[in-house]
Amino acid sequence: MQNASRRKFLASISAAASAGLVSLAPRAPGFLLESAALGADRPAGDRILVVVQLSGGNDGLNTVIPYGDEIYRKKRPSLALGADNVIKLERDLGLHPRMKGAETLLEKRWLAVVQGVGYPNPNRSHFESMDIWHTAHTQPQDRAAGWLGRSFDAQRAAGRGSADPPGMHLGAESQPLALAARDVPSPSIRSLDQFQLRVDGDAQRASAIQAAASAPRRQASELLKFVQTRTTAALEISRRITAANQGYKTPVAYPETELAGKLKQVAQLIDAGLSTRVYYVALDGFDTHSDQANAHAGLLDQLAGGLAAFAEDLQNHGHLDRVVTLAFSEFGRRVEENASRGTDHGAAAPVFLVGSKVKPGLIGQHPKLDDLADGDIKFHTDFRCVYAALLAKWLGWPVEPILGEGFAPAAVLQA
Amino acid sequence: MPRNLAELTPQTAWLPLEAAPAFDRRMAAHLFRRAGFCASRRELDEAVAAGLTATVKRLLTAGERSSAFDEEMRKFAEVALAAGNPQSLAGWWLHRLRHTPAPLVEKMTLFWHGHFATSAAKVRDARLLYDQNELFRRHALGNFRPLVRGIARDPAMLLYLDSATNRKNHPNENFAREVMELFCLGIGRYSERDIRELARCFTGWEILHGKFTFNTYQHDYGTKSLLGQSGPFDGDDGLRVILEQPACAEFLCGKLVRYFVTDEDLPAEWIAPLAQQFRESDLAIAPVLETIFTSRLFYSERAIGQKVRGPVELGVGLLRALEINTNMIQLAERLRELGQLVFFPPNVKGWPGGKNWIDSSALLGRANLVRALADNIPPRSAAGPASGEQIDQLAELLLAVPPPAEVRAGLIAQLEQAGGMPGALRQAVSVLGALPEFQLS
Amino acid sequence: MNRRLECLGCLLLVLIWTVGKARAAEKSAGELLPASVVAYVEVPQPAKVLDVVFDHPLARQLQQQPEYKAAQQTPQYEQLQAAIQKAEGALGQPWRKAAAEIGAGGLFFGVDLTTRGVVALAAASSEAQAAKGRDAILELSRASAASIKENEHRGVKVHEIGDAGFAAVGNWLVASNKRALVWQVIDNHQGHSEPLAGDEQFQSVLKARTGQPAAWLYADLRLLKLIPGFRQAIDKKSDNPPVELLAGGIIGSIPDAPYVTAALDLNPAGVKLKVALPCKPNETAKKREFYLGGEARGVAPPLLRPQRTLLSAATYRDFASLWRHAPDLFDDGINAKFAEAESNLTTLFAGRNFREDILGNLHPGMRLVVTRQEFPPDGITPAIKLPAGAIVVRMKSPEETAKIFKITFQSVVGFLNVTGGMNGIDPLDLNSEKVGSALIVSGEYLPPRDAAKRKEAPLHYNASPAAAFVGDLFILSSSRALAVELAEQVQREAPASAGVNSSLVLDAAVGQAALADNRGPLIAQNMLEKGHDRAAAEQEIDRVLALLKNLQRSSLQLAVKEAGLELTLEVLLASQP
Repeated sequence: MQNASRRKFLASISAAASAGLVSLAPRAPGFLLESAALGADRPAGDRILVVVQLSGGNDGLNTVIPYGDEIYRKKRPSLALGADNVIKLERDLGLHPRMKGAETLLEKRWLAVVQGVGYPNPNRSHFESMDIWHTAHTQPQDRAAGWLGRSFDAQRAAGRGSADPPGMHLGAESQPLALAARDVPSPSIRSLDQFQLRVDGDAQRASAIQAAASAPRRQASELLKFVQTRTTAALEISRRITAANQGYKTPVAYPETELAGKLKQVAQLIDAGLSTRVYYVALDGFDTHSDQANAHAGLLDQLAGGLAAFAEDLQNHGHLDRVVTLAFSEFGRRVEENASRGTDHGAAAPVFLVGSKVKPGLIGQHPKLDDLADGDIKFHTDFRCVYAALLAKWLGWPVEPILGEGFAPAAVLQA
Repeated sequence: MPRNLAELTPQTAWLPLEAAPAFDRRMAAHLFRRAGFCASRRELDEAVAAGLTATVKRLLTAGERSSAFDEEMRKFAEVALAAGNPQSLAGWWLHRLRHTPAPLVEKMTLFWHGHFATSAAKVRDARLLYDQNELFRRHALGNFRPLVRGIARDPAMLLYLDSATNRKNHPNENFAREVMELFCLGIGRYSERDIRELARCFTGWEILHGKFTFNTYQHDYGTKSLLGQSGPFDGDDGLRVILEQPACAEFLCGKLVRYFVTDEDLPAEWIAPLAQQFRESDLAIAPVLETIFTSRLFYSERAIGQKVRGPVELGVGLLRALEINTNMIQLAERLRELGQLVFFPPNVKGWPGGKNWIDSSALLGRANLVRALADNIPPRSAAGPASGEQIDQLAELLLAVPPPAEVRAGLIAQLEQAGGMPGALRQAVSVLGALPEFQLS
Repeated sequence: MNRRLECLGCLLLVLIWTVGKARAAEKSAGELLPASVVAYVEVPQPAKVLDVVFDHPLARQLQQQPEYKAAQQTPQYEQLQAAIQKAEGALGQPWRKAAAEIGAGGLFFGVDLTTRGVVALAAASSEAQAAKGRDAILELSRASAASIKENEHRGVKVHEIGDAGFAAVGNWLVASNKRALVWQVIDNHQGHSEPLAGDEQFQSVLKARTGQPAAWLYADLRLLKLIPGFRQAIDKKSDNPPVELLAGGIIGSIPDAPYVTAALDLNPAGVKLKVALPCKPNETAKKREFYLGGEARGVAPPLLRPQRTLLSAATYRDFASLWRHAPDLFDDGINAKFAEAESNLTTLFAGRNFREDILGNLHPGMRLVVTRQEFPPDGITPAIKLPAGAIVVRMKSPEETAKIFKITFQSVVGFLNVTGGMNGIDPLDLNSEKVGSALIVSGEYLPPRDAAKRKEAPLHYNASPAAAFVGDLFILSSSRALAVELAEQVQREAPASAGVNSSLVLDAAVGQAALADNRGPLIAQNMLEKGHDRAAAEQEIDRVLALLKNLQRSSLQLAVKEAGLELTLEVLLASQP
């Protein structure tokens, strides 16, 4: 299946290229190289990062659960989950029982759970803390551009721009600051429709447009040549996405949730061969101040189910070894539950990484519940070390100009 | 035929076009694409009849004759503002762009909006953005000096740059930095120390309840030394010093040339004659624009088709050229997808423009936008011109660079074949809108 | 494919024209239609219906609209005109005249389950008339259809176009998109097969019918339930709370109901549609107590009628019960949303559990009213004038719940002031007052700083949010004035009428006035949404406002009787000058 679709894809590229329709220079080498040395690692220029933002502050303690811990049970009289319920991990730790999807990912060794991630002097305001995660700057000044946006700028400045936007945000909410850049704009799109030429089902018109756009131009200016190349490439992408949309061939049954829907669209864009390096989606609702149990369970179910289906789908289409997904939240929640059976804003929490190239399993110690800072879990891994790993070891982009000095890449990816 | 580039030098580029190549329809269409948002057939007829000089004059002075329209738009804006959201204000502006009798005024207002970029994503208060928009319009073709003085007091701008308060013990450098880097001089024409000194000049300039106020207790009355001059400067003194820099005219004229003439960055010596004129006219905008729009360079192959159309130019231009109307709120939303929602520039640098407009999603979005707008074209009447003539007219109005002969032939054949079908013309326009040529101005 | 559709269209048109007079046809439509018909429609006097529709002053007015005139320019309209002319040629007289002269014979439709086809029957005044109608169809079909086959079935000539067919059978003109249906009608005409009229249920329903509606429908739900998947589709847990809230009790009754009937009354003064669903409401109520109440005895509170009522609705709905039974009523996705909402709402209501402590403390029943607002000339007038709205609910233990509502109202006002402060919106001044025995807490926006804005004030000056407590009633209103008026009114209102589960009235005259209040903003809206210049926008808005003057009043009522549910929709037109 996997090889067959790859072959088809290569065939379509070479056919298009020989017909003089498409300039696939930015994309083709990665694939060709890979097909020449099957099994060899993908070059960094081909790799993709998908960010899933869990907005509102995910309760890390009821996500990766220290079910054996006395303090946990004492501080969480109504919310604590016991050994019978959780999905068991090592060392008296377990995942929330509704994270069935994560169980599958763990079995396949596609899930890394990085524990105790945070930053010094945690800020408990949603906006402030989210800004800190987005900009990777803990100081309020200079929050104009995000860590990814600054990377896009640096790539362009270094002459490594791409045919498609390097970052893309899928969703109806406003664009996350992480993608904001001074020079390189990232589009926010609501659905895949924006990547399809609308011809009202008139195939004849589609081919008329394709032919008219690709017809040779005599005496074309440099600018016209540039636009023509981009137009034919865009029409080709549209054709592929339209074909993929008319029954995107996946044996994977995505759950019928908003997050899974977005991730499926990301999978289609990746499969269509865009040169975009970063995709960004968000799942809101984690601000569970009261009656947390059911609401949180539903969100974790949606998260784990979506991630599992997405990874499975990428694997089926032969992309999993070039895609890593990061799921983070702006902060965890306080150890002690409040009087409304909910939890309030806290500090450090686990982040998740999904992919076939992540270092699977638990990474780092579960934070100690008898050693708190102001009632909150202490961090031991700075989130910028996770970013550093993704920038340097995955995307192949420089770290220090973006994050500053002193953030050694965390060991979250396979060497 | 427009002049060959090889014949032009920095010294001759800005000289008035010789009488020799008559001001023809293609040149007039080019002028209206750049100095406005495309011409309708009627406007082209009038322009060719009036000739180049008179047409440019008319464009430059149209704002003086549009008071009835301005008043109507003011009333319209009040209602759009009552809804309180910046999106409906965006719809209001697009409506104004579509119907304005003074397209160059609006084109320059859009230029200043990108130059002094301020986003509703942060400012939120639509009325402040409207007031800023009116400031741009008031000075659109006027003098740069009062415009800069106005923007330095503009509530939306100062809120956008987090400069609503500016205390003498902690001078806020944001606005001062952008004044030099983005608004007046360009990067590298000042030192970090100049920024700090200019920030001191602006201390005490505050925004209170959406209005500018001067807080005398927070103003630093000490001596500042800025770009080689020193004195107990206040904000206006600081601006005066900056506007006296020769680099100011170079910087602004460079931007105007990129906006109106070519996406290519012309070397400094090509800008110098314009900058010279700008300084000599004491920073008046209109004379420089008149020079540009009557120049040899403007009608040369180095200019025609040498710009990528911006989304607003593309959408509004299509409506104006074909004299059709559409839902302006939806148009604003679609332009957002293409990367240019007015009142929402991406950051303080404004829209980067040029090749940056072009990526896969934007190109498909452009084609889809044209297709959607084409739905507003009335059914083709049987009494209309023949297919060939009709395609040529469309190409003349919409394209800076004619399509290849085979594409033209294909379009004519298609229109011929579709004959009396009500959608025939719409289909032709939607194919035209997907051509690479259509993206050029 | 297109051709076939065209044929069918022509066919139906001609059917309408060639309706025969009700000269006692030897068999009724029910006797001709096959037993597998699931839906039966009867139009006893089609000519009268045409008269009411086409000669109505409103129809004339619509024909004057530029949109209508523009539609007349399209090729489709021209094709239609040509077809009508052709048919009139075949009929030998104008089509309206043909229908009117032939008079009321009756037009009948059946939707057939086995063939998935539709059959139309017209009772002509004579065999000759039926044959004339058939020939007219034939004439029209020749122009558009590729091939028309002429066959015979039991000695009757049947014309076939692809799958479709038509024939004249005695006094009857028969046409269907499935020729097999035409054959079955011929079979029945000659007594060779089992007709719909043989069904006991159909017979008894037909017999029990009263009045003479313009159109009457009967649908056999027993047969529908035989369609695989139908039952599952009805029983499936809902993924749409609004639909469940509006129609859950009706949808839930369908599995038990043997049939449904609908009667349409049509006259120059308006339209009335009455749908009856015989079933056992108290059975439905077991699962959907929230909708019908225990034993289906739930009664809507009386409608509120303050001045300038634009819309008033009252319904028996038990929101606490709906929320509690959500796991049985809704699918997992919606239940997850309920859980999330519960968490958020509990935070809002000062830590009280929303399901139990808030909803659980309300009696079933909810009233909603929307009124046109008047703004005193010396006060602040918003540029866009929105209607005011209020809801009224009853508390179970007012002494406790009222406090929670009051506190929540105050905290929401406080929250609005804080967020408003961040967005440059003036603050709400919180007031508390006694009006009779009612306590009214309300917030009033401080006047705009800029005095010039008092006559074109921003949108939020439409609101002066108020919470009123009158005995065990809680009123939440967008305007203080409305809250005061309602607080007084609810103390002297008549008791609810039994058997009414839900009712709604809409006063179009008030609606028209509310729109006319906003002529300026509507024109601006039109400029934004259509891109028109001001002159064109003004013309269009004034035309719409004039058209709306034709509507007077609409109402919708759901009555629950022992024998089933009854839904009545009424639309009244303004009397014509």
